Amino acid sequence: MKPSRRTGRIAAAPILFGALGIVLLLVAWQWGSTRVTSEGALPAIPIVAQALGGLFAEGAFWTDVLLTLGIALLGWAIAAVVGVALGVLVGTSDIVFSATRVVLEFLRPIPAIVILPLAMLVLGPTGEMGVFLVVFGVMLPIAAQTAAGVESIDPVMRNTARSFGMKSGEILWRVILPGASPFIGTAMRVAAPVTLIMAVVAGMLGGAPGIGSALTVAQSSGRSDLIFAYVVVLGVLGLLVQAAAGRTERRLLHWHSSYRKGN
Amino acid sequence: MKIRKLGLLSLAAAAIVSLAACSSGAPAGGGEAADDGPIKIRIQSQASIAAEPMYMCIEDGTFEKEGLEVEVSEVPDLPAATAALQAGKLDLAFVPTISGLTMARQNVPITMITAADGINPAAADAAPEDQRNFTSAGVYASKGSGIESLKDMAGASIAVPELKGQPDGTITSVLHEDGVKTDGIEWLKLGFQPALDALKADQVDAAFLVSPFSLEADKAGLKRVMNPSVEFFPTGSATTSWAGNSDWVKKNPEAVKRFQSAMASCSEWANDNIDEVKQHAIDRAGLKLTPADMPQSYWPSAIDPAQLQEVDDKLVAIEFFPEAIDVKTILAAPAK
Repeated sequence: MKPSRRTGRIAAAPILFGALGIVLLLVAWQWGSTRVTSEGALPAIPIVAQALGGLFAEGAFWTDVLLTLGIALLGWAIAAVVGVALGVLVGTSDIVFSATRVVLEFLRPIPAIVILPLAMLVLGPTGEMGVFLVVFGVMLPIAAQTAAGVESIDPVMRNTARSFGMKSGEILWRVILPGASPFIGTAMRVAAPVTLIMAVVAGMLGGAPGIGSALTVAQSSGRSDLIFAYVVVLGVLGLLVQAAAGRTERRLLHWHSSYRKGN
Repeated sequence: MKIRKLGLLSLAAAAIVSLAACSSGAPAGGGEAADDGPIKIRIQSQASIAAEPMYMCIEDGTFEKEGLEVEVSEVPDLPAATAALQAGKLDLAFVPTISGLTMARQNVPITMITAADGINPAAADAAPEDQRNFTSAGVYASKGSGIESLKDMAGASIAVPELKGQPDGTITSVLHEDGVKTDGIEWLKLGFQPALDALKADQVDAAFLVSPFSLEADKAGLKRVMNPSVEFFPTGSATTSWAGNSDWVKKNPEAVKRFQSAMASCSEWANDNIDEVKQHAIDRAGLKLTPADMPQSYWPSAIDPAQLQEVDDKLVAIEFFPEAIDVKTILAAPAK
């Protein structure tokens, strides 16, 4: 059966509206650049596009992009492992929950940027410092979501698994983690763009390698065209990271009822 | 199976990119020679022409000839760089002179090793309106402020990039010497771009700007009322320095001596080839300037203790600092 024209139009609508949104943003940007008195505050789109072209031609730019992505990715991976492990412990053990609850709630609202001087003291202006900042920025939210996911599992399921003679490790792998996986998946997806932000901040303020450092050099050189070019690059990277995270979440958790079509 | 493959591929890609990220950045260990090999020094710098001879020393092999292996980290934030210095993650940092004197009073164990940039001796004979040829740092007044001279600056709002630092210290001292009361001045901490925008919008009365922002201010027709660095610092003195943690300086006299010797040589060369240095700074930092736009910078070969003491005494006189210190306690012995 051929898809109807109406079905095609409905499928194209989100793409068209998305494109319209981008066009409106660009129009607003260009209009704004003609209204502000200082070109440095908001350079025009053609100027930024030219700066972007210049960046693409530089090898150092692509190195900075890879470094920033690498720091974000490694921090994300470490935060995931540690955060999920911590979340499972908090969610499954009353003792651990009681012992860590106040500490975790105390640490959660502290912005990662506040511990930058401490990170610099210990790790210096390095990629490792950037990774540490990323881990600090996203690990606790991942742990909190994981704990919530573990707590949401129906106790009957756990008891049933136990009555079938499953050991703790098996229950963890076959019941708890799959049951908490939608929460974990959401936490990981939400954390993805935050890792990018942290990696850039580590560069801007702490001298970690990557786009952040390059942004600071552009800022001190008064190159607002380059600053905005980097902003565009970061926006695109954020979109790609978010899309990749969402896609990965859907592929890995496609079996869960909450990810099936129609839910 | 498909998911497992996807997961393994993603892990492999992440590992490769992550290893690349963490293998870059400041290396471990500084000030030590590997047997008879070069001594490694990790140095923090900024994208400023003041630091240009250091970059040129790396590129032309001067450091190598002195038996030094220098690696640069561009950390823009001085507090963060100082923290890294104290933690031993960096060996040397680019420190403005007055910031160094402030740190000494805050019990931060810092020792100035050699000069970075300074005030050109030719500025001594320059007419006030020509002093700007020797420094990019200037104080500009907004059109709506009504400020035409230093006398009009009493009670003004002045934007500076940092508080209790070189900008407000030098401005206050210059105003004091001109008999202007500074008690009522409102100091605002603003970056150079926001300060320039605020000037154009008449949101502040005056602002401390450096190149290229000072050039933008000139283009916008804003009046330059003061050249605080040239008017405050003794001619030929260091306005910025290369400084290290005092403990590191004490334990690595050979590294210090070699660095001083290399920088003296590079600074001398830079003073004789200033146009080349300007072009190098333009290319390195991606500045949209020509050498003609940039001031006649100057790089002293060493820090003169007498001149540094004079700077400290002037700041004590305006109560910027409560009491004087013996500046020799924060200076490394010069290379002979």
